[in-house]
Amino acid sequence: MKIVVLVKQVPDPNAVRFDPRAGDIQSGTPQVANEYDLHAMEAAIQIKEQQGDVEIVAVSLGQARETLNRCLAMGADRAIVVEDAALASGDSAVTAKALAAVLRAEGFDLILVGQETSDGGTGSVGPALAALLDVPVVSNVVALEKQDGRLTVQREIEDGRQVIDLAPPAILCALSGLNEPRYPSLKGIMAARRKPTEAKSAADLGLADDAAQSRVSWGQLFVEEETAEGIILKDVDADSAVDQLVAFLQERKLV
Amino acid sequence: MDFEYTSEQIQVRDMVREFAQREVAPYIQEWDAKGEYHPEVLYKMGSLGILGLPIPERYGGGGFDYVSFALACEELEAVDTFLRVVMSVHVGLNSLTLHQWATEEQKQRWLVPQAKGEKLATFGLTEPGAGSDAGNIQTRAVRDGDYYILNGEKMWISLANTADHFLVFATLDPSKKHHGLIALVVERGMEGLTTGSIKGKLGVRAGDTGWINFQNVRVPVENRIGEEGEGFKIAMSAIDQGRFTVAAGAVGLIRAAKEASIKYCHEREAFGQEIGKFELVQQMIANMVAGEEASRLLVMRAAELKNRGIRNTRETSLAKWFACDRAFEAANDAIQIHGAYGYSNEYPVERYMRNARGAVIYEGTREIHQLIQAGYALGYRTDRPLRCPQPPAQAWESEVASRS
Ligand SMILES: Cc1cc2nc3c(=O)[nH]c(=O)nc-3n(C[C@H](O)[C@H](O)[C@H](O)COP(=O)(O)OP(=O)(O)OC[C@H]3O[C@@H](n4cnc5c(N)ncnc54)[C@H](O)[C@@H]3O)c2cc1C
Repeated sequence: MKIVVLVKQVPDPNAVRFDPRAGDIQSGTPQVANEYDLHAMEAAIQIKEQQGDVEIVAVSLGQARETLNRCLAMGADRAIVVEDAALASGDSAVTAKALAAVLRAEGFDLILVGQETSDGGTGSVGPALAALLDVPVVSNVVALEKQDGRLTVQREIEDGRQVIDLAPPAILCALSGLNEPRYPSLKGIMAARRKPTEAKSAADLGLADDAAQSRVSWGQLFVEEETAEGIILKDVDADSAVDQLVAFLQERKLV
Repeated sequence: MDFEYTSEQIQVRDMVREFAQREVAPYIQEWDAKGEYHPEVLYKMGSLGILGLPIPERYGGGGFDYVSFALACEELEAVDTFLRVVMSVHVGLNSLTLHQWATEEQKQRWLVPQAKGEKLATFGLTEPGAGSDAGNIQTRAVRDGDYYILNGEKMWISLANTADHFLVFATLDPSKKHHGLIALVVERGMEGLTTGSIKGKLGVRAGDTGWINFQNVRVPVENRIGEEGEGFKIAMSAIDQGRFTVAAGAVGLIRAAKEASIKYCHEREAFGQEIGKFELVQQMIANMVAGEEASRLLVMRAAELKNRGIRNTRETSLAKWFACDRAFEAANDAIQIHGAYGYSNEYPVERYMRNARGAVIYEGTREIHQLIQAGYALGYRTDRPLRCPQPPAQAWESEVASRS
C-alpha cells in the first residue's frame, strides 16, 4: 500500500508579525511544517506501524526541505518536492494541479493532507485534488481506522461526529484532533540521512507552460481600523461596576 | 559563517528538549529537594540514543555533529544540571576520549556498548589530594606481568555509583609527575573496586557524585588506553571534550534563569507596576541576554572547530570559563529578581544558582581557565600535536581524510 502525505512549509504561526508598511508578514519569519500536515503524517505512520507493508511518500510544493526532512525523520520513506517558484506562488487551483500531476505519476492508495494551511487557509487543496483525481474526499477527519482494506473515518461536524466508511483510494483531510504527531527520534533522524528526496520541476511533471497561471491573486494585507471605542470601568467597586454594566447592556437591549 | 542551524540540528534539539521537559522537568524540584537520584532517567537517555549522540554510527552512536551535541547539552541543563553531567562524563570525558585514543579492539569492547547506552561510563582523575594539579595524583599502578595492580582513591567522581566503566588515571612513578601517568579502563565487578556517595553537596543534588577506591585491583594490560606515560595527554584531551559539554550546558542554565526571571518580572508588582519596568531589574535581564548569547557563540565556535577535527583547547577553555561565570551570575541575579521567593525552593532559581556554582570549580576552576587564556595570549603556552588528534565529527570525516 502506498500512502502519499502532502505537506507544506509555512511561516511559524507563533512567530508571525504583520508589517504594515510592506502590507505583508515580516520577512525572515521562521518556517515550520504546517501543523495539520503533521497530523496527516502521523496518521500515515500509524497505519504503517499497524500494517507493515506500507510505503509513505511525503510530497511538497515550494521551499520545504526542512519540513520534508522532518517528515523523513518521523517515518516517511521518501520525499518529493516540486521546487518551482512560479507554481509555488500560484493560487490553490495551481497548487492542486501541480500536486495532481505528481500524484498521477506516483500512484497512490491513500492521500492524507492537512485540513488547511495556516498561511493560505483556503482548505481547498484536498477537495480540488479529489475533483482532479476523481477520488472521494473526507474533510475534518478526527479519527481513522483501517481494517480489511476499508477505512472507517470520523469527521468532525457541528456538535458531533459523523462516521464514514469508504474504500481507498481516497483523500482524507486531517484535523489536529486526529492524533498527536510524534517528535522524530534520534534513530529516525539518523535514518532520514539515507532517505531520498527527489526534486521535480514543472517540466518533469509535464505541465503546460500556462499551468502556473493563477486566476486568483493575493492583494495586500491590512489590519482593520477599530470602529467603536470600548468603555472601561475604572476605579469603581464591584457592585456599582455590575450595575453600570447591566444598565449599559439593557439600554442596548442586549439582555 | 552560517548562523543557522540545519534541520537535523533542530530536530535533535527538539527531541532532547521534549525528553527533558516531559521526563524530568515535572519531578526535578522534588528530586533535588530530597536528594533523590533516578538512574532510570539515564537508562532512558541511553535507549533513546542520547548517550551516543556524537559517536560515529559505526561505533553504535548517532553520528551527529558537535553543534547538535551542544544543543542537546543546552536543553538538558536547562532542566537540570545532573542530566548534562551525564553527557560530560559518559560522552565527553569517556566515550569521545576512547574514540580518540583507543585501539579498534578497545573501541569495540567499551565504546560500542557505551554509545548504544547499554553501559554507563565515567572518568576518574581527581583525588582527595589532587584536583587542579592533576600531574600530582597518587593512585599507583604497578606492572605485574600482564596486569597493573591498582591502589588508591578517586574523589568527586560523577556517576561513581552508577557507571559500569571507569576511565581512571594512575601514576607508574610519582617522581615523574605528568610523564608517569597511564589511563586504564576499570570495569565494575573487578575485585578490589568499591564506590560510595558523597553527601552534603551544595548542588547537583539529583545527581550521583562519589568516590572510587582501588585495593589491589588487577587491571589487564589490554585495558590501558594509549601508551605508558601518555596518561596526562589523554586526560587533557578528555577535558577538551568535557569542558565543551559544561560550557554548552551553562548556556541552557542561563537561558532557564532568564526565562524564569522574565516570567516573574511580568507577574510581580511593586510600587504600582510590574517589576520588569524598573531599570535596575532590566539591567539584570540585559546581562542574562548578553551572557546567554555570547556564551552560545563561544560554544558554537568551539563546536565548529571540533566538527573539523581542529585543535580547540583554547577556544573550549574560553567558552567554559566565560559561560560558567555568566551562568552563576545569571542564576544569582535570578534569585535577586525573585526577591524572597527566589530564596525558596518554591521557584527553580535557587537550584540553578546552587548547580551553577559547581561548574565554576569542576572541569578546570575559573582560575585555571584564566591561567590558560593568559598563557596563550602571552605566548607562554602553545599546543603541541598529539599522537592521536581529536577526530572530526562523522559528517566531516571524508573531508578531513582527503585533506591530510
Ligand atoms: C559536582 C562535581 C563533580 C565532579 N566530577 C568529577 C568527575 O567526574 N571526575 C573527576 O575526575 N573530577 C570531578 N570533579 C572534581 C573537579 O574536577 C575538581 O574539583 C577540580 O578539578 C578542582 O580541584 P580541587 O577541588 O582539588 O581544587 P584545588 O585544585 O585544590 O583548588 C583549590 C583552589 O585553588 C585554586 N588553584 C589551584 N591551583 C591554582 C593555580 N595554579 N593558580 C591559581 N589558583 C589555583 C583553584 O582555582 C581553587 O580556587 C567534580 C567536582 C564536583 C564539584
